[in-house]
Amino acid sequence: MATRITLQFNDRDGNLGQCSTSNTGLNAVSDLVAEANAYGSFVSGISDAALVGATLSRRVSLSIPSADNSASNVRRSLLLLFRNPADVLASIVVPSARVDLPYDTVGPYAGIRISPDVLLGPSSPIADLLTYLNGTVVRPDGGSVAFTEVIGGLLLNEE
Amino acid sequence: MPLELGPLPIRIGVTVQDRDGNTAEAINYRQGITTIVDAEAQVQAFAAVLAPVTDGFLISANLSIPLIQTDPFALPPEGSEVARKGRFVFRTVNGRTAKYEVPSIANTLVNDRDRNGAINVSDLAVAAYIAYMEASLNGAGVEISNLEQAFKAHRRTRRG
Repeated sequence: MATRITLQFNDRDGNLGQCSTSNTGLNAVSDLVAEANAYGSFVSGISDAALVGATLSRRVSLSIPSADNSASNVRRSLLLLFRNPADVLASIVVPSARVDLPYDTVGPYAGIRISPDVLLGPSSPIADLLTYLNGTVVRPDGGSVAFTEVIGGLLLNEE
Repeated sequence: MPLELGPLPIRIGVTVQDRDGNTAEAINYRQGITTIVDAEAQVQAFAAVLAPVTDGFLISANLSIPLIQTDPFALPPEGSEVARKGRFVFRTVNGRTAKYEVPSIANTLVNDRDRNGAINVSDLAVAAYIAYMEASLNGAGVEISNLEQAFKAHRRTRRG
């Protein structure tokens, strides 16, 4: 698949315009950044808008079927909150959370919460995810949270 | 260089589809990725660790790397308008067409006497853009061979 290079332009009124091209041959991100600059210089040569940013993007094929999707529903999500000792939070939302996860069976959060002890315990349902994260969740703003606690709960979307 | 990697991380989105065909995205951010191969491996790894927690079908994924403009840029001129596009239609070597647009094509490059708003392809900057595109590949990885048409068009915009 190709990597798409999308340039973002602003006109005098602050409206946003975009244009894009594709590149299939480059692998290093630094080379793609250089290619974005080359593309940007040629487009800027014939446009009177200001080049304000760009995005490199790529679609990735997946085919991971569910063993049993009879109860799947993307409006039911699992919200995982990762917290560090300074109470800084980061989150990951998993759409269509499995209904057989080890939610609390007693207490005020019965059926909707997975306790922190279970999530970080030896039989955690997110053990693979924890291994992948390797102790740190990156936030959208680029900050990262080296977490010591994880809380999970069902998130019901009404959309 | 004006466009550079900024402080923002790479965004990984995995699309999950339920039995009714509705979709939602699980999003994760990663830092320190330097190659597309590594980024794709991160996407596949994230999808794999989601699978035990979701009962949906993981159908596709995407990654997105934001670049920021680090050079100060002048306020665009009064006549700039991103809805005014330069539309360039190229032919590919397999006979298909590939269309590319340039937001706010400079008015000085458009022949207003031409009813189709033809773009002056003999202008040096336009010729340079065309040469760059003709040396490129389209989204399917097919070589672009030659320009067929270049004209002005208007399309909707969104507020930036």
